Amino acid sequence: MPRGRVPRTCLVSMPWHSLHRPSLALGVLRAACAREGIPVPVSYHGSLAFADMMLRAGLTVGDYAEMADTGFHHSLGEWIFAGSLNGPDFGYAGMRDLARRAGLPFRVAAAVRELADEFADQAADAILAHEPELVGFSATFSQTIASLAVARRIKDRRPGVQILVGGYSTDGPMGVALHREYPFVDYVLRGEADVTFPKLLLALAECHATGTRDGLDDVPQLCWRDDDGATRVSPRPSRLVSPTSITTPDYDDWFAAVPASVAARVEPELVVESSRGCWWGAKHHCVFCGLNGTAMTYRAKPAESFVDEVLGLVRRHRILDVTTIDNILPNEYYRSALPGLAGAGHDLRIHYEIKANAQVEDVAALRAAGVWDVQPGVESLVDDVLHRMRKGVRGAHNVRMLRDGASAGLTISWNWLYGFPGERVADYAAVVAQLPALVHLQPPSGAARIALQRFSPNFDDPRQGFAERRPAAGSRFVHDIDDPERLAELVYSFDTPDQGLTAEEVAPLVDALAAWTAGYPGSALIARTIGDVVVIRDRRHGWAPADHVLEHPREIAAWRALETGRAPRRVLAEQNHEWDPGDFGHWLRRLEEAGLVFTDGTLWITLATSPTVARKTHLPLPVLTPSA
Amino acid sequence: MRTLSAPHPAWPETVDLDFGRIDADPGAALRVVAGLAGRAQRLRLPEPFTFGDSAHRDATMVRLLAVAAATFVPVDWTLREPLPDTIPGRALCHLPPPRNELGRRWREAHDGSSCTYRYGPGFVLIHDTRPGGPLNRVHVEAGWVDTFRTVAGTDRPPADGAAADLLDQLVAHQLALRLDDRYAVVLPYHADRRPPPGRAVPSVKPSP
Repeated sequence: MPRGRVPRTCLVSMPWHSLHRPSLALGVLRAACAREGIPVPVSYHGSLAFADMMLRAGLTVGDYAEMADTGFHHSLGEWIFAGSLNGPDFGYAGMRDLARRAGLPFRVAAAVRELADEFADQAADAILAHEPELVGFSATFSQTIASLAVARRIKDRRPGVQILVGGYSTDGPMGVALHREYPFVDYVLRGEADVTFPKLLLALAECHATGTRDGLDDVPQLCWRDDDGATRVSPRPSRLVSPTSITTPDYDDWFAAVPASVAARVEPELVVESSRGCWWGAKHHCVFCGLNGTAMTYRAKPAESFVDEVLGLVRRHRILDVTTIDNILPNEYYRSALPGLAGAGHDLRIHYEIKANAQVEDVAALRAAGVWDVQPGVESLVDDVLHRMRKGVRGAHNVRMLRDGASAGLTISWNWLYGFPGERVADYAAVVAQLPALVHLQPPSGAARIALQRFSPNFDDPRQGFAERRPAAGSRFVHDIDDPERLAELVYSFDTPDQGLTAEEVAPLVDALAAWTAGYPGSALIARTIGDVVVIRDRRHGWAPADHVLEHPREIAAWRALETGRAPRRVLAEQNHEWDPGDFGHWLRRLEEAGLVFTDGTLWITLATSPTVARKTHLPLPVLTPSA
Repeated sequence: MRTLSAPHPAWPETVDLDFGRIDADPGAALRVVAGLAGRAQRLRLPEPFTFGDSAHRDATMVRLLAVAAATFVPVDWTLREPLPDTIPGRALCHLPPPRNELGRRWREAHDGSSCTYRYGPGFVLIHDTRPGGPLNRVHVEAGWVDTFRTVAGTDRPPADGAAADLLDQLVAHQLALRLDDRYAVVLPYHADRRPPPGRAVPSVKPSP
């Protein structure tokens, strides 16, 4: 243990952290301190406090949610606090113009910005009331400027209080740049802080005792200043945090704060992590993805300990809704953790990001465990584009995911991404023509041109076609930095000339997705085995109501084969004594004309959902009294 | 492949349940409703229903509608008379509403996921956001979970003891209806699955 005293510490999570979830970062850091036997920091939940202020000013929980959900785009959420950091009018006109061009909710944002100064003052007061010696800000997306605005006030009022900033917005060179540009920030702790944060507190205790700065160099990835004021950057650790060292988060203080806050009006969720990094990205990094920063190496918690962790938190906080923040579900969990959660027999509702190549038995395992919301990274149904992304799945696999997820009743979140260098209009046209047949499956939330983000292959490798880039326009309205090179080191998002389809060329896709979204509610295409036939009931928007009946055993066998997604010649080969190739081709065309199959050009897959995928549940029915 | 323009005879789009059949075996009627889940089939109650004529029938009807709500089976039914004063409109507005004019206010207030319960480790979480009451999360504590399971699993009010106490509390919170001395029903239904995505409701409620 150090000779000095560990500094009294307050950890802070600022807007735009979600209102219905505690901060995983704060929860993990509090637990990490407890594990090391050092005093657990107090917390300040700025998101709750700011939402309360917004309500008192006549704004709504929905307004907060809109800023939290959409504010990342074009730095609108950051801009709300930019006046509090850089002066009242800073970036106002620029963001107003950008919002007009980009269709951003500027009116609400401007109304919220009116509150930012008062809030930053109150937040500084509330944090200082804890008499901290160190204030640590967790800054993930859209939390940086609010954190800096409050940090500056704290430093102005009590220069002796030390300011620490960490979180994803400080990963890699961004953290070094932030430390350089904002001198009131004493320390930036980059990367995973489970181990390094307690180590920093102990090092500061030692520094306090010795009156030196000795030991700070031993805290990996720490940016600090030496006695001459020069920035020092400690080296990276030799290895990332091991999965068994990732602690169970401590959310006691957040849940204690909720009842008196606006969050009592929303449905709270637990937030947990079962893994870090991305097992797919470690092999084939999707070209547009910048989510894993400097920590791509995949590490999953042992399944049994994760199940215990989830059930322990559920029991402690009596919350049944759980969001995992993993980038991707550990593959082995389909056979370990998910059955473990299912076996507990509780009515959990869990969100997970998964890979889209899940098999039907995987989908059944998700449902049985209570994983009702998934984000499978579908991204596109165009085979060539998926290949350019390095997604490792084909269009037919993605359709299978949408179909089997629908069968199981899962909510599937996905976006359609375009704008990849080399993508071709003809490839899109072939898929867009088939989209009316998918109207019973969950549509994407929209189509979006890919953004250029730090840490992605598109950013790191100029050969990907995005060599020309500049800091995203919105960043100029939140940071008071004129030099584009300095600004570029600080930011995560970049503007770059459009690649791939033009706006005109993508219009048919956008129109088709709008029709899909409009026709989705109430559409159904369901296959059932009844006796020795298969009946496919078509009640899709835009299609004549029909029941298609497959009666011949060879039809049924071929339909079953196509359920998994097959090349027609392979189906023929498997059933070579049953089909004449011409008859099979004719039968396949009939399926195609009836909109019962999708093809990515190579694989063909059936589109009808099947209630058998969801056959887990038996609703316990009440016992009713028969009539007298 | 043969294409039919009418529903396959073994897979009707609408399944009728008349009250004679429901009265004869209410449990079997509930199983019929649950069996329609996920098959794009509707339940139809051909005769208009009157709440207040018979507590037993009222209890059965509430339970039948609750099973339909829990399994997302659409129900076509009508009211013959307005709800009696003994059944406040708020009590049932989370259940599938009647389709005729007498059900207009019920339909306007309807949110199928606004009154549900879910089992957790050592507790039951009741979620109640029906209009006219505060946003409500009620926990049934560990010692009462089995009692809740008993009370929720029958239409008979317990005579005394812990179950009777729990029922009284649920009635006081408008989470159960005591229909007469012999019949009572718990109003939230067991939400062990999610609404189909097209019917999902946002988790964030607009503030007043």
